[in-house]
Amino acid sequence: MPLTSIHNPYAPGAEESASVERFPSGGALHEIFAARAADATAATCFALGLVKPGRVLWVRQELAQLESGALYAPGLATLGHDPSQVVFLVLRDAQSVLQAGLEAARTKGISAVLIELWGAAKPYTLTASRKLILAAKASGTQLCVIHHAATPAPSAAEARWQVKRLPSRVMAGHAPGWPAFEVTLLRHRSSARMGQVWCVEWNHEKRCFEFRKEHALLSTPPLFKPVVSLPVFRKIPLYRAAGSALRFG
Amino acid sequence: MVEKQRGALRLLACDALARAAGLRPSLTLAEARAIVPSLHVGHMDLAADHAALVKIAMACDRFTPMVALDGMDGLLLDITGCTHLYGGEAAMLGHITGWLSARHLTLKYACAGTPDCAHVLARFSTITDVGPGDEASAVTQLPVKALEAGAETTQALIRAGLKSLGDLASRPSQVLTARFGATLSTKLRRIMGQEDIRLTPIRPEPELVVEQLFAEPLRNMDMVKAALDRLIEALCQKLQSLDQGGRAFEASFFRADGATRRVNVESAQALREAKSLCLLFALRLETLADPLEAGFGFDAIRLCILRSETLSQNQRQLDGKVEDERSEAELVDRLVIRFGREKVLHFSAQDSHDPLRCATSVPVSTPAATIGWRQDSEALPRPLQIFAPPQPIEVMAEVPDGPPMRFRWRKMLHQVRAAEGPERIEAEWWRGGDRSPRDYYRVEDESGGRFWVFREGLFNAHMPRWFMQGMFA
Repeated sequence: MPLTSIHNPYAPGAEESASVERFPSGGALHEIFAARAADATAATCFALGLVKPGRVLWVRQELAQLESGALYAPGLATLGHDPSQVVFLVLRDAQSVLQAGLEAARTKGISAVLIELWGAAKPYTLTASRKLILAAKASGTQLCVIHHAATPAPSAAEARWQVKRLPSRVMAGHAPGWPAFEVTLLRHRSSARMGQVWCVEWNHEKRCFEFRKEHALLSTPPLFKPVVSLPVFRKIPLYRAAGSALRFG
Repeated sequence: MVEKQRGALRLLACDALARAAGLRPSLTLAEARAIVPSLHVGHMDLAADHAALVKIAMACDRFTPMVALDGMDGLLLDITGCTHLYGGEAAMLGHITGWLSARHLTLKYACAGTPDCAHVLARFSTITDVGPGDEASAVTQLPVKALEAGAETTQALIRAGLKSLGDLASRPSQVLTARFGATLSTKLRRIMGQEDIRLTPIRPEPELVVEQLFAEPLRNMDMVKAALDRLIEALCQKLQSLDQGGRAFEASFFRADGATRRVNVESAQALREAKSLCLLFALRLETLADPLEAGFGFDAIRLCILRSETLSQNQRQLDGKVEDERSEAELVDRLVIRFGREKVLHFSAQDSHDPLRCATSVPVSTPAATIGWRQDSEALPRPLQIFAPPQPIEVMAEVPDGPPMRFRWRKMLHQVRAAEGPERIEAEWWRGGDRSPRDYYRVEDESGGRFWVFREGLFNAHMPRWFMQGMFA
């Protein structure tokens, strides 16, 4: 099993590199658990950061769509994925979701398959996960199973992560910052760092997640862009809204 | 059969026995009862009649692909080029009539060079088969009523002493056209076989057809599948020689008891590999909600291509790229067949500033718009998941037109710790509808949940309302 990765989801020179826990060049199954039901979007986002951008097949359970909303292409583009490369299915029951996922995992030419399940998914058994892994190994596809509102059950997965959202580093002007998560490596087949907790933050410039010391999340990152375009002819007025200090330009 | 017409219940159709007793259509029911007191009557159900006729037409598809409805009570079959399969015209006629009579249908039929001539002969004459070029002589003795030109015209023709079609044909057509209009003379020419029209079949004509007839009905499903696979192979060879690939396929299973079952398969890309097509059909047959049942056995299977595209031989590149694209298209095909066309989606970009309209999800079979997606860092942050339609929330704001301070969504109270906005997005006035402008805010609550909420409306007569639009990661 190669321990290095072709695609580096985390920035080079990040404070702490987790190359061992990353995906090998394909053919592995990672499980991502949302710590609470409210962390569904965080878990989804982390899965997107973990897989290689490219042809992505995404199978969602209908309940996940009802609970946390339909996929939105501009948001995917913000996270560095090309929406035109994404094909997705929204299916009612976990059984069909896994069937479609297995079908996709068998196919060469798909860079990643995301399977999103909501609630305790009975059909996702040890056998089912083993089947998925065998299929992915044969085709070299990356596989991510995202569980929302579920507790971990035995499976053949390479790694199991738990994702919990963190308050972001608020930008100047009181604006919400970039996504920040607390990621726990619940188990890994070939890593000694099980149980370790990292804080990761999305780096919008490099389009990747970066590890941060937790206290770093409390400092203020630079502004990324003005919200309203600056006036060309007039002098720039300084708006200081009382109380909530909104930034207008 | 009776129906209420012109204020009275009138006979519309009667069987042979009733005819023998002197009843005929257009008689009122009271008169008919006076003649035959023990008359059995039923109400006319034209819709059911039509449905039955369409069903028969579908079943007649086994004789020729060109089947058209002829009025309310007739079928036209274009058997051009099909007769040799049955060993001649007469043999084919015998086969068709035998097949239909065996299903307890009483029929009147005729075979002629033009559809109009056959129509007239079947209804007004006892001649059943007219050789090519003999149409005019076959219809000369028929009454002018056969033109079906309406009671007034028929009356006028008879008054003028023109009693048969032969009489009419002997007059110069310009005179007839001047007196009765072009429709009549055209119809006459068509009946006489001097002018031919093409049928408009009730089912579109397939682009390519292969079929197999069985001497004995096939009852074993495995054998049926094997026969289908052979047909697929034959079809793919034909496609290969034409440099074409099929996009929509249809297999028709003709059961011995007259039922016809059609199974459709569509592919995401032009396809002519026998192996993958066999797989697609096998998958489709497995997942049918109403499984294919052999019952009395199938006596014919036909495989058609409804839509095809030019498909040149794929050249494999050194890195095997073409191979990948193919297998991916096959995957999409399999998913579409298993889960339905509307379940497999991709994104389509629209040139619009409306956040809901600018990105839509459409089935993969629908081509996506070609406008690219903004991936630069200048693009405004957008949520990963959105709610369509947006969900109403209760909001408390510090100042009326400021960002929310706390809000209640799905019964949960969220305390806002950071907010950015407003980003005002107006409705697209050129699309009509008077939606109020929306002020969007990016907010983050104490636990780190990041949301996209908006206030709809201005502070005028109506109070603005707040909605949850989406969730950031």
